[in-house]
Amino acid sequence: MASLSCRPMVMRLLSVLAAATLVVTAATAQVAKGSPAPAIPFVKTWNDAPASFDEFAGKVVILKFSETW
Amino acid sequence: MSGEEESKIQDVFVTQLGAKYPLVQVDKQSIAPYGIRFYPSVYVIDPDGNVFSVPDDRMPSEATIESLLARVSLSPKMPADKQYDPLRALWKKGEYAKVRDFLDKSLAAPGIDPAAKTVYEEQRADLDKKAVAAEKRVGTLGAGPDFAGAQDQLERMEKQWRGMPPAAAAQKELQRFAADPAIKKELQAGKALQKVMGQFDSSRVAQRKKLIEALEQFAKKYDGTEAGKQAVADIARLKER
Repeated sequence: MASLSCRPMVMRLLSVLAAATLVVTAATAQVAKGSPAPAIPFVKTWNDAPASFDEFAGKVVILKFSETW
Repeated sequence: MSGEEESKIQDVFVTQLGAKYPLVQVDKQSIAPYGIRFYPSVYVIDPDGNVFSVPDDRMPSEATIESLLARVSLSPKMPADKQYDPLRALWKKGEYAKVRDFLDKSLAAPGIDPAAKTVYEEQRADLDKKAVAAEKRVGTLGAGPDFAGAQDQLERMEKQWRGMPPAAAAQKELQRFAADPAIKKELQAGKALQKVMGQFDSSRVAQRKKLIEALEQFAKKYDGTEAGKQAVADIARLKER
């Protein structure tokens, strides 16, 4: 992953942090491939992350969701 | 989101782990449409804004990411004036020989506006720079080891740069791929692996077991190939889940 982050400006590696209390179940329906990526409001950003999800338009985006403990 | 959580992100990800990539804090309800089942989960979004891969998939290879990047418009920044719309459209189509022809013709036009001339000259220099980078990229792709992914990308580059040096370089590499028995074997293995991965839904336990069995057979059959190594890595990953 680290090597990918060295690619040209068009690519963004974005780690999105979810709440620690999130309970995840196997029955959760995953977003379908090929469907429009749901926009996510950003609460706070670091490391020159864009101010809004819309700024990723036209780019290749790797979204890595992690959680805090 | 609490201030405590914000502080944790700052301490753990930014300070301790030294993350250099863009980080975003989000509210858990807002990510519900993604249907996240476990953490960490990776989704890839293509340049059209559509979901390209989900966590149940294998993480797309670097070559696949490169092929997605190839679809990103390379159009450099230019003034918003309408007079540049035809040029903008050519960049968007990704037919770079047409961009070159347009720029050369415009620059040769008598009485060209000095401001437009500056824009066109900058664009032309940018195109040359991109062509050099694309030719270099052809060499990197040709070196493997993901020849299946490289083949897809070289075919796309050949089309995008038709009539310019990167296309000729891409064509030459594709011809070499077709003539080299070892690469042909890699290509065959790469396509076969894609087929195996597409046959099973690894999010279901029963299918995951079947996928592991199929991958074990695949790894034996294609031992010594890059796809074979990938299958072994996939087996280990699937067994961890």
